[in-house]
Amino acid sequence: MTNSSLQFKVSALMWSFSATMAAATLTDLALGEINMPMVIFMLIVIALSAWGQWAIRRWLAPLAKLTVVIDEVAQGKFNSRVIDISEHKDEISLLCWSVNDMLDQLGTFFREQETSFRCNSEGKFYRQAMGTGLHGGFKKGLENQNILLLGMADQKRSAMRTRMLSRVHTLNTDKLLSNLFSSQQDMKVITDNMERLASLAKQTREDADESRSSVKDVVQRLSGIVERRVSWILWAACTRWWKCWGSPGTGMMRCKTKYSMHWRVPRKPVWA
Amino acid sequence: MKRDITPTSVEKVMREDDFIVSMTDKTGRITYGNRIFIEFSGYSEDELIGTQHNIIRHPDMPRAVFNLLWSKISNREECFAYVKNMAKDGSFYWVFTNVTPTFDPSGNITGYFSVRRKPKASGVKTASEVYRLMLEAEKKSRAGECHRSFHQNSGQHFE
Ligand SMILES: Cc1cc2nc3c(=O)[nH]c(=O)nc-3n(C[C@H](O)[C@H](O)[C@H](O)COP(=O)(O)O)c2cc1C
Repeated sequence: MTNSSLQFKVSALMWSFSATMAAATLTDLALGEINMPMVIFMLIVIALSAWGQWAIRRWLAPLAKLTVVIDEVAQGKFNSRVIDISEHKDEISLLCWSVNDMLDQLGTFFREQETSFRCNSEGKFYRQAMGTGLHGGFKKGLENQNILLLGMADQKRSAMRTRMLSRVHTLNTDKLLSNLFSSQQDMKVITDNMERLASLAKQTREDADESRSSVKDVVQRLSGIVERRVSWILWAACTRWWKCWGSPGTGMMRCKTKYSMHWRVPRKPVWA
Repeated sequence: MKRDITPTSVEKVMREDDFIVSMTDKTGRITYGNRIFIEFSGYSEDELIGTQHNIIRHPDMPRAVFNLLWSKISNREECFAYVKNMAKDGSFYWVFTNVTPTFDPSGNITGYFSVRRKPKASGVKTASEVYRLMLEAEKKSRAGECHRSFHQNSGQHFE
């Protein structure tokens, strides 16, 4: 209790009143007059002052608690409250409850704000700040904040979408390159195979050509042989016929005469 | 310390723009309750401060709800729940509660803070039906054992 404290001032007032009473009574005593009612009043006033001193300390006690709590608020802390508030609804206890109510509004406002911001940054966009039970500017503040959060959530969602799309794109490009590479490989394999196939085909054709020409050759030879044989047989038949029965006297006769019993084998025809 | 109160069918309904605020220490002992809390619970500030929060627990509430509540808040998360509370006179009142942990500057939990708002009628209807079924199941399976051991293990609760 300092010299300027409320408690000191009220106590000083009471005690000065008592002191004045005491001075008056003592003056009477000194003058030799014993005024019993005065003495009794004096004692009562002293007793009242003593009780008042005790009472005023109790009545003003919440102010010290209020000071602590409000100092904390000034430091940005909203978790202290005034407790053990007297049941008698005097101005000071009402003031304490009002301060508590104010802190409940402030504390809830900041908790709601903190929680909804944190949840939103964690992607839980559904966790909006709840303004129910908050009053006036606190409620309005959270409502505005929710609009902001919705906008932020939208932006975040679209940023996520863009990021995802670009990742898909990168994935595609990576795949495209490797796909191209593997297609190139495949193409090479195919080309190689085609080349082999082509050369095989060429080979086959050549073989076929060769075999065809050899077949032709064979056929030619065969037909040559057949032609020759046929013409030879015909020729032989004709000459024999002519020699035997063609010109009597000359052919057969001469034949018979020259080679006796043997048929003369004619000379090979010129065209064979 | 829980008094023996017989629940009645008298209901108190919260007002739209009010909320009940209470704070507890780490063990669930009440350190503060606002005037609305005092009004609805029917207890004086003196009676409330220093007692366990189960002072207003209604027997219709399943234990699993508080199990969930404690596991979430001690894990530094917030918890929302529909809760049926019982006042000193045995009447009941439904609240939509939000409990969040309070941290000191170095991030340790120093206590819990709860705000209870007027619940939606549809939510109360659903919750009371679900809680009735849960309570039945708990009675059958004696799930209460788990709940008690949970509190003993976590040391959050002294009865
Ligand atoms: C901040 C806070 C608020 C709570 N509010 C309530 C409440 O309103 N009603 C309730 O029954 N339990 C409430 N509890 C839970 C109680 O601590 C307790 O777990 C519950 O009443 C079950 O108690 P019991 O299992 O000991 O019977 C609250 C807990 C905390 C931390």
